[in-house]
Amino acid sequence: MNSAILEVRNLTKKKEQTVILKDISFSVQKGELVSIIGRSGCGKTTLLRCINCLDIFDKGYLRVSDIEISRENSVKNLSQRREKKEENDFNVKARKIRHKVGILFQTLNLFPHLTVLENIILAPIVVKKEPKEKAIETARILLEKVGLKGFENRYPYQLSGGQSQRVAIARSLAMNPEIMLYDEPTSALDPELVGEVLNVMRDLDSEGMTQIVVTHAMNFARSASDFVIYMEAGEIVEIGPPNKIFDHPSDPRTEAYVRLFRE
Amino acid sequence: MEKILKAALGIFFVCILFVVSAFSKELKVLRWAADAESNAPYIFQDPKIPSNIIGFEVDIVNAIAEVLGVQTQFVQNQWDGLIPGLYRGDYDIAINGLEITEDRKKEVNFTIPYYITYVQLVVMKGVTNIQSLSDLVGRKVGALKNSLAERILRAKGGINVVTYEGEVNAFVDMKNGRIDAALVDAPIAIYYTAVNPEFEIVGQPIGEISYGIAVRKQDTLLLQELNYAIDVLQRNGKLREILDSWNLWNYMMETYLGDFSPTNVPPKKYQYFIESVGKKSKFSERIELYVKFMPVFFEAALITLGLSFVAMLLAMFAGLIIALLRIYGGKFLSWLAVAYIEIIRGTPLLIQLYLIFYALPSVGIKLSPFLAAVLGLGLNYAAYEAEVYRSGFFAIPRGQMEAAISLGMSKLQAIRYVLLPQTIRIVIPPVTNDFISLLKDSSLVSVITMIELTKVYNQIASAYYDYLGTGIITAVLYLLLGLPFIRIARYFEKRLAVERKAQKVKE
Repeated sequence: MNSAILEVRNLTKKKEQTVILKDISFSVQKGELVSIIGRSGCGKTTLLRCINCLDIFDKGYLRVSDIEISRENSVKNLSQRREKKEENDFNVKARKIRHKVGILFQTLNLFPHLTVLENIILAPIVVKKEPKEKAIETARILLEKVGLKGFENRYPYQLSGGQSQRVAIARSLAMNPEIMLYDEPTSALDPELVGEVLNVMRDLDSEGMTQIVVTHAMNFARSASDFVIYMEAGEIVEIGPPNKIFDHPSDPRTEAYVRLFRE
Repeated sequence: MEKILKAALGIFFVCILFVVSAFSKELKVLRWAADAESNAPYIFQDPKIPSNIIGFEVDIVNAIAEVLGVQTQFVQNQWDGLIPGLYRGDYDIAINGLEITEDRKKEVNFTIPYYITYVQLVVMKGVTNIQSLSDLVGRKVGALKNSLAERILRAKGGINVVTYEGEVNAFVDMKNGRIDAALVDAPIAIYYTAVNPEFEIVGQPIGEISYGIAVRKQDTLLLQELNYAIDVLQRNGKLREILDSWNLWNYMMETYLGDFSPTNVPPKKYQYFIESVGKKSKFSERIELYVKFMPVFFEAALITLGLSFVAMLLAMFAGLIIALLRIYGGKFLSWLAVAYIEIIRGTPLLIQLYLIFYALPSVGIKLSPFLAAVLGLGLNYAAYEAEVYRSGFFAIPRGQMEAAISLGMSKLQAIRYVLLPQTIRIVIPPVTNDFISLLKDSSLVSVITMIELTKVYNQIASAYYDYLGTGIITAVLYLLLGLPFIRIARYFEKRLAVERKAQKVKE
């Protein structure tokens, strides 16, 4: 076992006959910020969802911290009982992984029936059985960190998109994750609100949080990432430090893509 | 010959008196059933005190109880349900103008007749061309459904027979010109024409009807006891006294009891009825009357509200579970939920109520009328609420479930803390609307002996032949019961709309 906090090896996912992810391998060290870029439909969102076990991959190996999942392609040959057991094992591990990995989605999905504070403390109380006072205390600190002190009692419908995403980050952080995943966190936001979300991510980076971002915000990917993954058609085309990917890509497909953003 | 036969019968009854008296000690309370909306003079609400049930059959039951030395207890049941109810065991005897017929004798035992009468033609006053059955050929004639009158009319042939659930409906139709005449049991004809002078009785008595008290087949001892009591009443003149006071003594009873003496008891109960119902009351008197009904109406309205409320709670709870099973239950359970919803929604509530009330006791589950009503209404509406919840769940964006799961919640926790609270907010308006419709559907439970608002309306309306005024009162009461809930639904609808709008603008 190497020292990486996240390790993905030969991960493959099919949907019916279509290959969505093909032989994906990479690893992330603690504290790194990784950007995944690529055209729409290239599989980057699915990859993120597989890391968080929201989607089940068919074959390959995934390790988050000390939790490992290995899957073979031969599920069809198993007896039904074995299959059921396999599925149960997966679900148990999936929940453990989700405890360690927070995720922020593209769409705004705060719980609309709860206040900002209640949104943040719900999972710690329900899942981790934290006492309410402690959860509230943590929540207040997190709200201050994402720049929303004093917003405790607002309801989601009273927030702007950028504020919603920041509350959602605080909500994930309240579970004390080791890795944060972001699926195009700013693409649903008005341009003037993008900065406030990205700034929170920069702050977290400086505090040593491990983060993986699927993004179209190329400037952010270039300036904040430790390394960048370019994907196309379900495959990783190129992995490298931002200046290499954006300025001297070694693969013509990467070159073709990043050129779109140079103007 | 006849006298000897009667004497022999008398001795026989005296003999079984000993058996009977032993039995009487066990039978402390005689539970008797009738439908209190079966019109004067049978069993109806006292025009002056609506909470009192009166009628010549009430007097007969009381006289029988007196002979047997037992208490009486009245059980209200729909007329159609009187015989099935016997076998549910809610009461021991049914007495309510039940004609002794071969068909009925297959299901129950009848006592010896306590009254014999005939049917009589009723027409609008001034109609002169209808005097007998032969005059009815080619005309439209009303009769009570499944009655002797109907059979007589059909046997005659060539008559357009229109059947009704109650005689009063036939009279109203006649007044409106839909039928030319009605053939009804004589007591009804006598009482109705007496207070509605625009109608009159014409022609000779037709046919013969014997009324008996129905008891369960297995209750042979009770049957003997009742026969004994009726015989006593026939002999000591008490039965005649009752019939005289109701103006119901007729030539058939004279022959039946061999008593041709002139009547010397004044028909004071008949007169009481004529006086309190007959005269066309002034508007102010009407209002006074309605004010007098109010406590009875209010009590019934409370029962309707309480019943509907408990039924709705059950529907909401069961509906939620059914909806959850359907969405998240896996193959088998979700199939089960779908089957439940389709079967319940696809079959009439009325049939479901009958099944719960009359069929379940045969497999050993005997529910009280209230419980049966709550269960029937609640389980029926559960199917509808399940679908409401389901659409509520689907109205929640998929991201909500994913967000909850990705925070480490189990599916169950996600449903409980994230999806369910939102679903409930979404379904409050449609569920409240359903409650209002349940409130009105609750009128159906009168078929399983529940006395609720509609039943009380029917009783009072039939006692006074006043369907308009009491009908309006009843309608207004239903409206008042539902109004607060309409308000609640609207409030939540508005609040939800505001939040949705804000959400949209932001997106």
